[in-house]
Amino acid sequence: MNAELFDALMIMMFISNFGLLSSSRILACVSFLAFQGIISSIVPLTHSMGLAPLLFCVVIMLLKGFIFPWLIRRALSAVSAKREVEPIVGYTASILTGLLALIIIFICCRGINFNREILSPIGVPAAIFTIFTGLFLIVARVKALTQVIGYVVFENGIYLLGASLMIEQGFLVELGIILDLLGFVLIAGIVTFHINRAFDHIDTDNLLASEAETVKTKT
Amino acid sequence: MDKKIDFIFDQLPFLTAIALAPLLSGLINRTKAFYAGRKGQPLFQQYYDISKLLKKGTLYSRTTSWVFRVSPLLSLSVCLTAIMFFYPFGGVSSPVSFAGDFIFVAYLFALSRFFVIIAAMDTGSSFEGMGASREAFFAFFAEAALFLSFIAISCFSRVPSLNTMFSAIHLSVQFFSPYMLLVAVALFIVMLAENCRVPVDDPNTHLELTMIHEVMVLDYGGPDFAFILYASALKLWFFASMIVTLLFPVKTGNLLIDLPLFLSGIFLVAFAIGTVESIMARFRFEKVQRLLIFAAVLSAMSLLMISFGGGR
Amino acid sequence: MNFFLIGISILFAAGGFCVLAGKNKKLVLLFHVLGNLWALIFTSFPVFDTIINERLHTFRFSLGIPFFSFSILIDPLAAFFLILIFFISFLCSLYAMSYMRSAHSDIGWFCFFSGLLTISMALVVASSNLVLFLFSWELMSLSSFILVNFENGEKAVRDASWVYIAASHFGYVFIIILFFLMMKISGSVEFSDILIGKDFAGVVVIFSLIGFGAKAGFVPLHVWLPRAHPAAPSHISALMSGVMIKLGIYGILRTFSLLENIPVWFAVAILAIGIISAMAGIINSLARQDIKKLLAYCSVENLGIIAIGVGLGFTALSLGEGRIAIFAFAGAVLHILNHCLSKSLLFFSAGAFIKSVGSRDIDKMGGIIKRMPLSGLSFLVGSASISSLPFFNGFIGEFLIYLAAVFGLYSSSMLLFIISVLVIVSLSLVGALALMCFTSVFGVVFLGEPRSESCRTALEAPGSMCFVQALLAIICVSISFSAFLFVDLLMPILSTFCRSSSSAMYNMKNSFNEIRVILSILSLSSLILFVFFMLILFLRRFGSRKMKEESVCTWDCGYAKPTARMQYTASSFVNPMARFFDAVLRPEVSRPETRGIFPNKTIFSFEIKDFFERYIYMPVISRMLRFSTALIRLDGAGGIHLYIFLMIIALVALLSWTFTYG
Repeated sequence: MNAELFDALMIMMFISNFGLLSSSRILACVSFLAFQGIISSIVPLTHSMGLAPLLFCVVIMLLKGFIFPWLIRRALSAVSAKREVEPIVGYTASILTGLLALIIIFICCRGINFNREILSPIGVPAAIFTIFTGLFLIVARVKALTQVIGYVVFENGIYLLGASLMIEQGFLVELGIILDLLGFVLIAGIVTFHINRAFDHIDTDNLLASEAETVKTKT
Repeated sequence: MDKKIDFIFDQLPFLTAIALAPLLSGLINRTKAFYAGRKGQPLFQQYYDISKLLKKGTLYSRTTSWVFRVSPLLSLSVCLTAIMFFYPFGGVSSPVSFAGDFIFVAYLFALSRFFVIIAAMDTGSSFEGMGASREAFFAFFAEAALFLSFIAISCFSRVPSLNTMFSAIHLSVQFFSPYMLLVAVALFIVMLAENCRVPVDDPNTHLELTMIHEVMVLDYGGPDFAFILYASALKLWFFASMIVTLLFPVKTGNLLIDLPLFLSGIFLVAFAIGTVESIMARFRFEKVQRLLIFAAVLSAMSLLMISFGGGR
Repeated sequence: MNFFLIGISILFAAGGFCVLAGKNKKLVLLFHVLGNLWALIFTSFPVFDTIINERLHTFRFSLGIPFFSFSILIDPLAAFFLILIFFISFLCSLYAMSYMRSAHSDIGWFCFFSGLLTISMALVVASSNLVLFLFSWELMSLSSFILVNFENGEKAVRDASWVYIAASHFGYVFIIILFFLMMKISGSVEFSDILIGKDFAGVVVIFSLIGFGAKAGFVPLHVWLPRAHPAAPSHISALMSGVMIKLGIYGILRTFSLLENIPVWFAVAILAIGIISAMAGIINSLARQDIKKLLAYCSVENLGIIAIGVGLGFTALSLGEGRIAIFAFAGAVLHILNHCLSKSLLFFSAGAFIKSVGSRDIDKMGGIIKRMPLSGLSFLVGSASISSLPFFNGFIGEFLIYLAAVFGLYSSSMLLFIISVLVIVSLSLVGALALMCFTSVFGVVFLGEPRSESCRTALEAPGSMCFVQALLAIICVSISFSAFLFVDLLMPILSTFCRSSSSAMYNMKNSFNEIRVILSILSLSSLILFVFFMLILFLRRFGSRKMKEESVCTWDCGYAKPTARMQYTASSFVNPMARFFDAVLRPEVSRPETRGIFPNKTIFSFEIKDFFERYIYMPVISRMLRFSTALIRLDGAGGIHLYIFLMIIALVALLSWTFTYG
């Protein structure tokens, strides 16, 4: 029963990752991120029930499922940016790259001997795929906001790796990482707001060009 | 006498399909009407449509040739043959089945598609050419998704034949398989694409901007159009019965229990299609392409997890 | 055995008579047909004897030249190819009776070289001596070069034939090196004495893939195919595409039959080349307006499918899965047969309507099916067969390869599993693309309204052309129903190149029984389809006896004056797919701007050049040309100085090498 619930949760993680890779609106990406946050908070409950895990789950769910997405949505509306994701790698190519990465991850993970009892053999591939999705979003998307989303997804993946390998007492470490993340998202939100105020857009590629221009106009 | 009754019972899936297929369209329309706050068409509307059309005369365009006249007949015979390969109740085996017959069935639908496309080109109308081009384009992605779904199911059941690979999935084997749910979703998306449903194609519109399947049959009328309507109803029934067998794997072998369960499953699928049609608008063509690739990716994921993940 | 030689000699003699008959076209073509007919009859005796009774036919005649003896061996593999060669040549000669009647002079020599092409192909397949094989291969290349270059008044034809002969010789070099290696390894010049062990297997495989792959049209060595086929007369294209490029596959199979065992990774390499060829071939054939170029790329695709079957078979063999290997090989061999028949049919029909309309551009055609009903029906049968649709023969070979991959899904080897998934996915994608390609071609050429004046007045093809098309169409359809009857005849063919593991041999009988049962149920299913169709047709005709049937124009949404130019053309039909594969096709679009209220006339052009030609061959060739011109210019004043200098350097190098290693 536990293993099947875990499997179902992993499948939902996969779907949310593919959704992130293929959606063309930032708001949709944020919704997928919230969904991922809720799913990944439930995962440790599949193998250890108790008051501490339950409390932890609620905290993580609040943070990742509601607070972070709310912060990002706030940054988006403050910036009044275009709602499109602006990909460097096109959407179809992203989905196919994701599929290729998934195949390679599954092949590689098949040969690994974990030396511990794991709940299901698709846990580790799911985690690594989430990490891949996070990194892909950072690298292959133009806007700063999608890079923030990518970073949160990346963190989700690392957390999932710990959860699927059933590393006990990872709570403290996780809390520390979450605090770091919260700080990062807050700062990124503020920075994005200020970047937009200065340059009227949040395109990281164009920042260099505009900076050169402002330097030129100043001197 | 006993053998005769047995024989009739064995052909019951085929007879149910032939008898009840046009009911699906009525159910979908009633669901859409329910969501729209209307009363809607009668449930048996498509039956009335087909019988009315059968009584009419025909009008052929001067541009068309024998290809145009042959195509609806071929579509109907393809759908009838396809149904003979898949008998969805537990305990009944299909009359024709061989290893790899799912490939044959997929290519049968491709044969029907080939003739529908060239019949559309036969009219010399640019509308129909447009629909034909789009149909051929989306067939590329839909075929990939369909084949990946089939091989995912085949890997799961370890059997290469259409009927047996679905009937190998039943409740005594495992309670609920998330992998088969993924494949069912993929098959659902392929069904929407192949049967002219929102969000891939709108069955009610007649604007050339939005049509794919509807526009290819624009010039048909009378008995030919009746055949086309009936053939598409049979095709929808075929896909729906595949999805029902994946999601409701109850096969007790007792026809009195299996048949009502199966029928209620089919009606649920029709209700789901109607719901999807009511809450979504038709996608842009680029989005349709992405949707179909997504369906293929779902099946591919399921296949990966079945083979590498232990396949529960 | 002597029958084979008699057949070849009759063909050669007929060729001689053709040359003598010279100006009298009718007589020349008659000799041509008779020569081919008698060659077919005479060679069918040893051929059927070999296949049915499993007896080998040999002949040996020593010519006194070292290494070279005229030794012939007809084993089942050779017999299979011999049937294809002589049958298609006969059909080509029948077709030529009407097709070449309006050609310019020189028909005598043309028919002579046609005969010579057939003879050389037969010798390639039947030869048991390495040098005889090389000799016949070169003869084949030269005679086909002359045939391709027949209409050499046009510059395009001359250029195409030069590309063809260059590509042929490129592959030929590799084949010569390969055979030299084999001779050195085993010390013998006869195929039957050669056995190559594990150490040299890799080198042999690589050289045979390049050498024979250039003839078979594997990507990236395929660039000559889409140039040579449009240039040649249609029935020569049919002969080349249907038979000659299969000899590349024959060479590969023959070489592999000499190996003790094939390393897994080389089998996977063949499979990969097959998948890439199939995908690249069909993607490139989508966006073509020249019907023969389209058919040429389609040949590349089908050769890719055959290579997929062969690669899958050898992979399964080296992993010990005999059943999968046999299914895959049976599928590949059947696909060779089916493609040969359907591609020839397509080229024959294409030749018929090209001749009637006077152009190869499909976007200028339309509505021809009413003027040329028989050619239309044959082209339809050919298209449906090439797109591997059920009820037609093309489905059967591909189905067996699919089935082999499906069985591979259940295997415990991860490599075989991944390969099987790749095979199934790529075959389905290729099938969908072929469907798009051929619906567009058939729909644009034959259906709808005529797009140019010459289509309105097109006439049906003359008698013998129609007969040939009808015969091939009937054979295509009947093979799909009767395949299970003669599938057991494939067993001896498979055992010639399938000798790697003895467990595979044991499985062969069981697997063939299985194949026969499956194919019989498949034929039954096609029959059921046909019965349903007839039933519905009867009901339709019977039910609407009393009802009205009227004729109007197509519904046009109220447009006052619809014209034929408003219809979809082939390029617009495949446009979505061509845009999807933009990265592979890379079209060169010139879209000059139109400015102002009354702009001047501008021309929009959209051209797709072959990807490999543009990015690999052209840069390399132009660099080589620049290098060699620079080298010539280095010479300076006189002509001889550079050459003497180079000779001195070569001499010094040879002397120092001899002294150090000698």
